[in-house]
Amino acid sequence: MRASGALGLIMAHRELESITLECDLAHAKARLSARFCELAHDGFRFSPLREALSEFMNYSQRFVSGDVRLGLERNRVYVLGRRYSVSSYSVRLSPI
Amino acid sequence: MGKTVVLAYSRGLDTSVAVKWLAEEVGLEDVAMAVDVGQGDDFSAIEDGAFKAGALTVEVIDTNDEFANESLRHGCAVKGNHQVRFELGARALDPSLEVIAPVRFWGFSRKDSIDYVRGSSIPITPRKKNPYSIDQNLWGRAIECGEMQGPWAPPSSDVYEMTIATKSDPQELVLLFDEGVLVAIDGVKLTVEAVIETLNSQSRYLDFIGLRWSKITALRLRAVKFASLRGAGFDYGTS
Repeated sequence: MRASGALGLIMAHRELESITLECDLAHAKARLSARFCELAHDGFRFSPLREALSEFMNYSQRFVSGDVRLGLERNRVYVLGRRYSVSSYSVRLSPI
Repeated sequence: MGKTVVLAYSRGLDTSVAVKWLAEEVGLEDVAMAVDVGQGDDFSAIEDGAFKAGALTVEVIDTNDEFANESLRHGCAVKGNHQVRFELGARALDPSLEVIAPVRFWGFSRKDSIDYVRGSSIPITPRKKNPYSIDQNLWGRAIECGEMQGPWAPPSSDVYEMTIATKSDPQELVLLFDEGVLVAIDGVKLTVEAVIETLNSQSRYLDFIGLRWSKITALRLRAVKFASLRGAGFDYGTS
């Protein structure tokens, strides 16, 4: 069984989040993701905390919409670009 | 004699303009300070540039040892954050110091800055060929500006210096997400299941991550350590 698809998907999704999530939300989500994984791994799938974290994760994704352009090569994947429907990134406000 | 200001100086356009501007517009006596954190700059050129821009004194401080031993992996940080660190650091060391950040309020565009120093002896490196703004030190290199401002555009191959780019001819794949969920690949709408099936099964995607297989030693909940070969979270051993 192979699961390279999951890793590519995670990488692309994280890249899209980098331009669509507000800074504090992105940082908190990263920390809570680790907690979520602990719960899942340790068998607490049906705990109130896992349920609450799922709600948080779903809510955090409201604006995570857009395209991610991946470059694929043997043994390597990288992001060439991202394009968003709604973004907290502004070319106009970035440094000259 | 006016008050003295210590200016963190890099010989770039902004800090060159600042030497002149702080002296002429604010009436301060400039001490230009440059810190060697392994960025590989030519410090004699920096010294020369600071004097030409009008600094009365130039100090170059070598902190490579301290930076290597105490900064751990900090490396280059995003520029916008540096202003906060500079100010909090200065205030922590001596709250009586006044912090002046002219770039915040002088209102110069890049062209205004160039016009401001035109005709003086201030050395300005033209940016046409190199549109990038680069932070480099012992721990790393951060590159901003140029076409990278557009998040869709890939960086051109000439931005790299610390690494050598391998010859590459990537296949491109465009993933479309909707509220965090992948819904299409290369414009074709797919269910999440189909997306994963596609990514997993098509041979051109199989090797696309070097981390696909990893030999790990897992700590099981019941405290048994177990070595296995995994591809993105799946066991290939027998437990």
